[in-house]
Amino acid sequence: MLGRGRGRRLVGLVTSVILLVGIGTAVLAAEAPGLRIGMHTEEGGITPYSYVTGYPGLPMVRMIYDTLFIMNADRTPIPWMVREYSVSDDGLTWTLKLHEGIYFHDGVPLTSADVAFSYTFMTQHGHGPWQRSLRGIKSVETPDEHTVVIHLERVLPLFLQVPLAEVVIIPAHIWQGVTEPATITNATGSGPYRLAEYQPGHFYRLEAHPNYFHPEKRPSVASIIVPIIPDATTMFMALKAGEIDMGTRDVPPEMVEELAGTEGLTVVTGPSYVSTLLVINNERPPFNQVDFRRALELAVDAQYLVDIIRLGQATAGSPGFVHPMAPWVQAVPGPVKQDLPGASRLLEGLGFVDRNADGRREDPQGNSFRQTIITSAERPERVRAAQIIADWFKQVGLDTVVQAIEHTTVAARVWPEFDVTKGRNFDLAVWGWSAGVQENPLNLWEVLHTRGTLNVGAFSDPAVDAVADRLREVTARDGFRPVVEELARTVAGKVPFLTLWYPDNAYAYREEAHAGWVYVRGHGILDKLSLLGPAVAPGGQGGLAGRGALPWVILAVVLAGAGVMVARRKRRS
Amino acid sequence: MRGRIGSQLVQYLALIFLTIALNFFLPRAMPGSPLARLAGEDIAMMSPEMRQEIMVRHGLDRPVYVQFGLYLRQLARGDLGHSFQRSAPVASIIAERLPWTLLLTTTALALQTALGVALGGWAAWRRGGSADYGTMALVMLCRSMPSFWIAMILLAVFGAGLGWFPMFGAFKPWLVGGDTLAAIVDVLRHMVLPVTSMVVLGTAETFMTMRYSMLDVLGEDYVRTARAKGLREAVVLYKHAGRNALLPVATVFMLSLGFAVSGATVIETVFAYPGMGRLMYEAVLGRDYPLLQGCFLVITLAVIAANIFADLLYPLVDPRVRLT
Repeated sequence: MLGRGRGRRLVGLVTSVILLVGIGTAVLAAEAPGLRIGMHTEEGGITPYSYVTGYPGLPMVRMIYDTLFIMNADRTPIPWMVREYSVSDDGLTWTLKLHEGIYFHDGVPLTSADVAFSYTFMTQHGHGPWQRSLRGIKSVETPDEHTVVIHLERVLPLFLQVPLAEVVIIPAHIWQGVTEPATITNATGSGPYRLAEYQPGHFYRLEAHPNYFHPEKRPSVASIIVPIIPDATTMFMALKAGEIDMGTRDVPPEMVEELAGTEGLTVVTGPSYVSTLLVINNERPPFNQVDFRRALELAVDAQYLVDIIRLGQATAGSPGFVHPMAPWVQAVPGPVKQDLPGASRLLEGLGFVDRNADGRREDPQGNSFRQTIITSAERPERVRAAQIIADWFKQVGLDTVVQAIEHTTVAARVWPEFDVTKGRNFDLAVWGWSAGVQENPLNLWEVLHTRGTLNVGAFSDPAVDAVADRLREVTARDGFRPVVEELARTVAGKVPFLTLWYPDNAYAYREEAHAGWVYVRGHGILDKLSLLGPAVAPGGQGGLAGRGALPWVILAVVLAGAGVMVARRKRRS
Repeated sequence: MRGRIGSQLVQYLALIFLTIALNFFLPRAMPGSPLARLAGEDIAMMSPEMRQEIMVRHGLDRPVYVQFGLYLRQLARGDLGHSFQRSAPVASIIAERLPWTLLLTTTALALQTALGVALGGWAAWRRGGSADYGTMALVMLCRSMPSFWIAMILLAVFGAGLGWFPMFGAFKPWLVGGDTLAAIVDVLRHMVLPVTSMVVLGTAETFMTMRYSMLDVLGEDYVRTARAKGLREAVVLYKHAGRNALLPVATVFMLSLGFAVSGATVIETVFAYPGMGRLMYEAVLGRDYPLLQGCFLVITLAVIAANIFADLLYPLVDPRVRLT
């Protein structure tokens, strides 16, 4: 028998040896090569029916699934899976010849039948942008394995962009007979990368598709590991420390200089089609009066907001809403110059006068008037903008309060159930539209027309409606420009909302890990184009296996140890 | 005895039913809709018929009381439902997250209890001196700091600055070539910063409980007797006084143990740790009712289980309870 002292020494020695061996082994365990992209959201199984967000979820889906056409860096559609194509004289029949040798990740050849299946399946099963994109298609024929003939109900001027460059092709042999697409976890596509591993809550691992079809563009990275890092500060610290090579989060303006000055990091910036607005409830008096809305517009200095909040990294909003760099315009109305006396004059003309000299205007009936700006508490940039704007409104005598509340609650008040016909419950709200709204000119109809599905402020003006309706009559891609420009000019005088700014996006990455990042206009660098180039040898390495059981193993060992200690003490006593 | 157990059982069942009802109705009382998660990002462009179809598919078109009845029936079958935003069974999502949370929170709880007991006992022993006031001030200062701030400081200094510990996640997905032991060490290294943050924040409660309990005990006759016997001060402190002072600490520990399954939302988010706290936060943002209900139910059951465990354990810890 060992004495108590000896026994303790032995236990200590064994523990030390285990720890040293463990640490030593951990040091010996090498770090697998591959690109590390920190992602700020979790996107489920990244299938076309389970991804969650338009960014970064959709770009991830597009790495795994290909489209017939692809949008290039300046956002014009170019053939991708399609080798050649032709269109009938009436514009209603499109014949597309697919490349030969296209394979899904599981080795099954992709044929025209998969294209027809995908388009039919997605027409029947709505989720994400798919169903809407396929409106206007009458039928899809497949005369042979590599030919797809699409018949349209009407001429679609943006057909190459929507749906051909938007709708992904899914394998019929996996999705055939599926009735609940959201439950499918098999993310087999034909894109340049395959989903090799997904550990919910932890990370995704993508590997280069070894049989990728494209004659010139091949997967340029063998393995991509995508850890999920929800917190912005953690992501940027990890980037600086070299734990990740790129972060999907847009670098906030105040961090751009710091990250750009960090050795090994590159920051690339560019315009984004995202827009930040002060939405006005056009249904509620006095916001239903155009002169009142104009007074609000004159009180706001959009360029100041850009300079102070975005540190100059944005473009001041146009009163015509359309982004000055959108592909559909050459010129849009410039930002409105702040004119506080002019705003005051307009308010006085409407009967908003400070009758009791308390510094706040009463309404024409002599009642006190107060307006509220609601904004998402999770977005400090918007809260700051609301505060500055409220100060300007106060300077022209409008009592204004700011309410920063949870984002989903803001959405529920501005856009209940995401259906503009369900009403609204706000005065003013700092709001934003994603890049997709500016990118498709037909979406301008949705934002500005009386019956538009994105018209969250219930704006209604016959002149704007008339011009917007002409957008739907355009039959050629080039035909949008004059209509969009006229629409922007018409809207500018009506003030449906205040367009505050279009942010520039900034993304940081480590060039030594991957130098092929491409800034896609209006979108950023997380794009399939950034990860295509000269071929690399395929084959990433899997991580240490069976991690899911580790916490149980550790807990069991600790509990067993505690149990042994208690039992020993009991025996001694 | 049998009657007491029976009445306690009835109490617990009533409590479980009440919490199930609250867990069901409260998330639905929040403003906002789960439709965006169910329909995808282009929900705005969907026709009313398509929206209605989605609502029907998930049973959200029915009156709330009917939905509640269906939920109860589902629970009776042992089915927690299907997550709106993750397209997976709630039970499997919770099963993935729960072990990581337990690993983090029970480790932190054990460490903060040990530290709180040691410091609290020591502070009480040095009552009124600079050691007592200094320790109390330090512990209170730590407690009053925002959790995200402590986490950020640790992250900046020991993660980004010195590079001693990993900055995010529960393990390194890109580690290859090692064995299970290497994997365990990797997991332990990832726990260091989040656990330290939780210990810094959580020690105060045990410290204060132990200190006040110890002050009571130190005034007892048997402590004076022990000292009069000539025992060493450390033996008096930790063997005679300390053991008796531990009883309130045991109560605090058991209560905290029940809540261990709920994780630490802020800490898990900052360190990108895949636990229950982060899961629930994301479920609230996405108005994922089934996932929220599932998480809340698991927490409720854990708290009740901890209470039962405490009831059973207390007589073992304190023989006086057995005698009464």
